[in-house]
Amino acid sequence: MKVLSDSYPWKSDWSTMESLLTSFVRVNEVKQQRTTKTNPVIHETGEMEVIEEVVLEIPALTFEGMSINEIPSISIYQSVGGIKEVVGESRPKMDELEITQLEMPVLDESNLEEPDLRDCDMEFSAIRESILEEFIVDEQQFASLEINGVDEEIEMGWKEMDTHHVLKLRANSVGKWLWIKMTFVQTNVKDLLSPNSIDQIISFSVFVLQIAKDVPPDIDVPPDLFMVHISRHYMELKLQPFDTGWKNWKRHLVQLVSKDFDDRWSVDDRVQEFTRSATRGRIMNQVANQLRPNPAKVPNEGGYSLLESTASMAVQETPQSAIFRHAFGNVIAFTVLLLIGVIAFSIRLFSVIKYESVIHEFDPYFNYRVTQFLTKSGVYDFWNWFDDRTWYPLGRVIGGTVYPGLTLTAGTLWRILNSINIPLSVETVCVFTAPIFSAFASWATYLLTKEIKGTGAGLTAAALLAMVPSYISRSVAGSYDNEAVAIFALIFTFYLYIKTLNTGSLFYATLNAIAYFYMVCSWGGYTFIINLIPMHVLLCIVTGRYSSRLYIAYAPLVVLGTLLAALVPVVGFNAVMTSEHFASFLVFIIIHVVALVYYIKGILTPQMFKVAVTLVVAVGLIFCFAVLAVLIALVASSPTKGWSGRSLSLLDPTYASKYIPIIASVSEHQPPTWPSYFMDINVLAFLVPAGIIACFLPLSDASSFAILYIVTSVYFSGVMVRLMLVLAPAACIMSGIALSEAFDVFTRSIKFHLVGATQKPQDNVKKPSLVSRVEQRLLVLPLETSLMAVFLLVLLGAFYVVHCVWAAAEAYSAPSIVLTSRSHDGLHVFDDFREAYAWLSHNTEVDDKVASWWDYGYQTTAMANRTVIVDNNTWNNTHIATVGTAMSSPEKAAWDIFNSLDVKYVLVVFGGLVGYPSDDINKFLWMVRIGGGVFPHIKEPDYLRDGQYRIDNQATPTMLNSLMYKLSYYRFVETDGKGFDRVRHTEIGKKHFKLTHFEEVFTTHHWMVRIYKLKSPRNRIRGKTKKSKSKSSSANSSKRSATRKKNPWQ
Amino acid sequence: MGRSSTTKDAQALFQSLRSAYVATPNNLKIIDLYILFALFTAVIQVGYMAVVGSFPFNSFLSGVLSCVGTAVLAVSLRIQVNKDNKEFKDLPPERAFADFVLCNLVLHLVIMNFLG
Repeated sequence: MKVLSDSYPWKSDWSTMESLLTSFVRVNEVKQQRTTKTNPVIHETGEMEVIEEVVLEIPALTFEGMSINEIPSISIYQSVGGIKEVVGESRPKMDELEITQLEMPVLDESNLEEPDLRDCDMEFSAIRESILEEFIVDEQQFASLEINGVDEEIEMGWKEMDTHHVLKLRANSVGKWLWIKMTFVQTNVKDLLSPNSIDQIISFSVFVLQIAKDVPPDIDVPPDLFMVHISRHYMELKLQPFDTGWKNWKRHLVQLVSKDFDDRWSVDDRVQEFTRSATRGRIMNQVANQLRPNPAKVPNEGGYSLLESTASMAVQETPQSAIFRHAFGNVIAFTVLLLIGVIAFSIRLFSVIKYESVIHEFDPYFNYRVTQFLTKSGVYDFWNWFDDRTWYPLGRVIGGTVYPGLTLTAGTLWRILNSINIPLSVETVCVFTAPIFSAFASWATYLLTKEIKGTGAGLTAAALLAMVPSYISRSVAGSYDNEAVAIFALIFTFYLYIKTLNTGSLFYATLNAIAYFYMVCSWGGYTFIINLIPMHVLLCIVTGRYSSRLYIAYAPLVVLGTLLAALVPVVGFNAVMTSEHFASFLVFIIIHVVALVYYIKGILTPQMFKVAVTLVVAVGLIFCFAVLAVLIALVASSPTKGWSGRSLSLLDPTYASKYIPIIASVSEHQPPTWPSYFMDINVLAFLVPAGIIACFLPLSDASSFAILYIVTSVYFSGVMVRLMLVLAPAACIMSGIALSEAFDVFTRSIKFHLVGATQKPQDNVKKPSLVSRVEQRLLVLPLETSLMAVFLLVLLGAFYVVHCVWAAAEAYSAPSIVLTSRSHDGLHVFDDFREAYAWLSHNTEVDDKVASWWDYGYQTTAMANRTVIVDNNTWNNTHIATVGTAMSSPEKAAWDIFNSLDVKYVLVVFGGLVGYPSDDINKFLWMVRIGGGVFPHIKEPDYLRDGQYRIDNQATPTMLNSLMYKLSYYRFVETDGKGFDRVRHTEIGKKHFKLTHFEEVFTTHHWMVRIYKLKSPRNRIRGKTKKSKSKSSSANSSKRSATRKKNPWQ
Repeated sequence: MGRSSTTKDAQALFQSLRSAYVATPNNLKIIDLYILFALFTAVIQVGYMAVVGSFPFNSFLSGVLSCVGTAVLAVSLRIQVNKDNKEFKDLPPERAFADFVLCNLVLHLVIMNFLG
């Protein structure tokens, strides 16, 4: 046995290298290894994809020393794009070993100024602990070590960091491999190949083994293979000893080194020196320091002096500045978050400032009415509330059919405010609920993005979400709708899921389930969560990222979440009965199987596990098929195959338009147009792809979730314009990540130029080697480019802000019950809706029934407090079709239908006078379609002339005689004498006509709402029976019963 | 021949499984027993449902999900207190148990509410 006597590894030249190798090589095993030209490095993790690699291959190494002439060869391969070419081949003779001169500059100092201690000081203690814990244990547990100084997580595997030093050190005795990986700044391969580097690699192995300390007494069996793998980004050393020889071999190496330096340095000093040189004074230096609280004398020798000084400088400035920086950073982050909250709230107040503090649109009026009821009668009455003011004569169980999250939130808010003597009205609380919750939503976005990509990205994403137009459109003050709180709940649930996934804490899992409960309470969109999270879990399992944290994040959520969802009356047993939820159960089963497999794999030896797999596979397949069959049977047996119409229309975008006109008739259920993407998410649409790329570098569990989220939400937003709202948070997160990463790169480049230029100007002059210049270019961008890019990014942000403020102020603030129009002679206000509703509430009996198209149902019940036939909760298609049929029928048939429903008044919305486009004439075709869907005698072609919908004199007689036409255009010709419709831009077809069964009772100031009263039957009979009084009653009654029989709705 | 080798393999597998399991600490074994008990109770309930019917569906659901939930939470606890699991070496067992109790509390409050 030969122990090196030269000053290995301090002399950095090939002769040292060779002498080292000489001690390793056994000649008789050389031949077969030489013929193997391909790279024999086995990538255990399979993660090492390199573009360009150089392999220094020393086959069949043993400790039996040989003289230098017996070394067969050292080959250096370079593989470009998979094709290997021999860069250099060395024969054992010294003159041929001039390979060092093959354009291989020595380690370049220009790389040394790179140490970037910003990130590593934080994780440092964790690194140290991991080393201590992982290595100073017995042989069985000496499983793995990896030091990763830049990234937050210490995880197995190889991470490519373009701009950082990454050191990865990994020793694995279980798989009988020891390998150590070091990653550097994009160093050129040739740099790495310098003798220094080779030394460093070997030093590292020594370092690792030295820490591992477990040295048995006898050294007999030599290692089988020794390999050095060097690629563009990392160096790797692999040692494969025999099973039994592992311990001995380790001791041998330790001896090998310690023999050399005993006279001058202690082992610790050497470790420090090795590591310092190897990592160019960055991470390992700190590790060494931490391992030894009192750093011994710093040896100065040869080419390492500069490295040392750099390192010690870096170490000196670390602790104090880090504390200050973090304290300062936290304060700034908190302030920024506060400001973001203020922005999110205040940007939504345009509607209050420009109009008034009023509830908007249709659905919010219903929510407002429910909230009023809740605050007046209490929670228990609310659950049991049967509303007889709507869907006459059916009524509606509000407590069991409404998502109660929003109303309960606002009700609680109101109660709290009142209990601390802030007497706000319920309406005020309702108006401001949405802005308050959008501030919460932006904070939740901060938390979520912080979990994915760190604080900077979090703040950016929160700022973007605070003013994304898509979300503003749903949450301006007064827009008191489910989405207002649901988006917050959605993001917060995702945050807690990711938090649980990152920490593996059951506490967060519980919180996650509760947040999911709040989401279920708030919005039907909760199915998005309960499908997206299983998808992510499945993705993790399939890509081999299963961990026990994943189990803890998912399994309790399914059980608790299902139970909690079943508590909400509107969901109830649907939580276990419908297909929307089946995906989660399926994945629940899968994750248990996977968990079991991983557990068994953990306790068995690999051979036994292989046996188990072969045994189980056959049985397992049969079992899987059985489960699958049961599931399919379950799905098939559940009603409507378990899918609700809205979910089906998500999966098949054409489904709704084919089968359910009532879903298709709502404009927010239509697919969006391209401009609406630009309008609603603006520049985010361009930043999202960059964010996705950033999420892949590196891909973690959290960032894969973000990617999945954006991909699915983009699809859903493409199906339904309303779901743009789900896309908005995802787009904000992605753009936040992209912007933050971009700023990171540019500001670092700027800092590098400014600081680096002042520090070492002479270095750049001294060593202008091509390599270093290329490297620098790779590392940092030119100063001008960086400045320009930062400026452009700021400009982009400014453009976004301007657009958002414009959208908030102009596009999305209109309450839609008060309309304004600006013309040359000033501002016009159209307050016709409230005028009409006020008329109804003041001039009709409390129990009178008002018929209108369903759009105005909520408003009528809430503002006029009158009973309606149909409203915006479109739960009964037949009932709506009845009203649609009445509107499309001639006057008499319509009168019969309405009279049978006890209707006293009919309300139509007409925009022809002032040019208000969303009036009933424009919605009329939907009434025809929905009515015709149930009552086949209403046929759409009867209302179209050659497929065209028109109301001029070309219109069909059916159209001109329909009730809707007559009620809309009655007396219209009196306004201008021609009857010119300003919405349709034509003169109407039938101008002078009288109503026989209806009488006009009220028309608002701008004719936007017209109310008609049904003439009472008695008057009609008297008029008709003037001629023949005798047979009046009998004839009429029989006639009426006859018409009733013909009535389609019976 | 193939059959005999298969049975031999299976025997060896069970042998090694047993020897591996015997080595697990006692507290983990107690948790395992608890999990098995919970699952067994769930199976009994499902069997009862199959024989008698699922009429008070919420009762059945809460019964089964209570057992499954208990088992799932116990598995989570087992994962967290397992010394071999490197992912949770920073987590003290007391903390893991406190989380476990909290989660159980929420679970059973919900179940009591849902039991009807």
